[in-house]
Amino acid sequence: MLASLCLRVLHLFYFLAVLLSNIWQSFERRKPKHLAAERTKVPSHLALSLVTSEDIDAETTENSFVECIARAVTWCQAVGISQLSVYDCEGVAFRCSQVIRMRLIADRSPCEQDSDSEPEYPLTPPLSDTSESRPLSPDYDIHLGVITMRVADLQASKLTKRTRRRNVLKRRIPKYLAPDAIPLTLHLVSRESSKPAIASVARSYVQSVNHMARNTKVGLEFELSPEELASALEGILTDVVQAYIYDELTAFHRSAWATIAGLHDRPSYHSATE
Amino acid sequence: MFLLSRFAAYLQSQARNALLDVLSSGPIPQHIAFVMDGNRRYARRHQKEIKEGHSDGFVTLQRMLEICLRLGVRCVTVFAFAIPNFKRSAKEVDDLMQLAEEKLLELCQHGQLLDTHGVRLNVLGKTELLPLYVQAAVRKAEDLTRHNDRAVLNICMPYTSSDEITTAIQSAVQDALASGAESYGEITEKHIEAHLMTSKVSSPPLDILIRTSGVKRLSDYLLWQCCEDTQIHFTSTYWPEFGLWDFVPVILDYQRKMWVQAKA
Repeated sequence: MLASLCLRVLHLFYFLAVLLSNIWQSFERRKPKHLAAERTKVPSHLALSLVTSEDIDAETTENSFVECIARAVTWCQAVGISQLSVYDCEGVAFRCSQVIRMRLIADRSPCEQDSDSEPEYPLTPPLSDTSESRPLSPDYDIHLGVITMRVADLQASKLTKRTRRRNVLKRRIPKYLAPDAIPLTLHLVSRESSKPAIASVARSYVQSVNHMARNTKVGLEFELSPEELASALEGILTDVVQAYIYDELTAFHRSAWATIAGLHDRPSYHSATE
Repeated sequence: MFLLSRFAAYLQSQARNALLDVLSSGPIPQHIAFVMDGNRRYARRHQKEIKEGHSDGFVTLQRMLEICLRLGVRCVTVFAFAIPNFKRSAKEVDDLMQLAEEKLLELCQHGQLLDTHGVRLNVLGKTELLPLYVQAAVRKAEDLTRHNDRAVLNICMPYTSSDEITTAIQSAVQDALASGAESYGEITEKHIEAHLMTSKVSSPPLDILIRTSGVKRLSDYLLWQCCEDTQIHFTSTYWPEFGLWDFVPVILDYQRKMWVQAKA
């Protein structure tokens, strides 16, 4: 009981100390440089982790995420960051990826600069199954739970007729985004892109080895290096599995031909699989 | 004068124990990990040899381990040597390996810290890369403490998280292949987690990760374990100088978080 009371007092003192420290730091904090200012070091890849709140409804959250990501993309391009990854555990950004894509297209459409009409979003193909690994368009790719958009490639596929409407929020391209802003790659990730994706890669390995074992009737051992795993997670799974299969198949065929050559007293045949 | 310093040390020890007893009346993390960074910079700042910096770092490890055990922390994991560290100078690597052998055996002796607190020692990592004499010391230290069950000390050396995760996936795939041809659908993240080195020695989920020396990176350490519900702290203090006053705010932050979560 006494210890608990002392603990509460300790926490009170700690709370006051942290509060005073934060107040002091707010005075000491330097004003950040303008986005277009020259910097000696700029990261090549920035990751943003967005956190939702149960107190905010889903629609407001999604709208806020879209706005936040659109601004972050613009700022990154202004500073010179070429890759931006945006993570949220629940996958909100992942689910509204098409809205984000359309917003990025609209922000970069040169026709928006002088018009105060509401931007019309071009027709888009339906979102394909996220478990597949194929691009929906040159600027849009899904692999292992990661949606990748190449902002430099974003372009409206088809524009509909625009009509003038009143009381519409005018959207302009920010002044600090130069016409020749560097291309940026945007990745939208969620928890599904993490441990579940790694488990998915593991299942692919089992599937491939089982497939090989059925076809060759030879028991195959499985070994994996960190470099191979990293390649697989970056989207080169097929190449890794194919190389593995080729090596094992080559060794198997060489062994088989050597046996046959020995039985029939002929020179060993080496080039069957080369 | 000597008596005065002894008395001061006694008072300091009593005050420390009283503070730890007060802290332990609140929520206490079950598993804390340390990245013991800054030994070399500490040595250079104090005009010491690098070897002395690492040796002072070991003293800090003992001190922090004792504090954690007194608080009631069940598991402590420390990052002692990374696989890429073998690329350091041959002299430094040799010094570190000799220090590892010496201190591993010292830690596990009768009457020493691990023995008095019932701590089981595990060395996690690609131990086949260690010199044979260090591997022998590892086996001996693990054997001496195998039956201790009150707490766990994991020393990661030589270790990287990418190697740990890769090894876990390899094991999970091999198990799936051995259990049946069509069992690939059964590999989930839980299967992979069960094959992690920390899981194999029954370590609880990681509650707090602390990195010293001011470097704000995870450096391929416990990435699978710390990416979801772990409180991560970066402190500017060099590891050999890390002490109770650096540690107490971490515990207080943890307790506040736990109380908030309990109310929600």
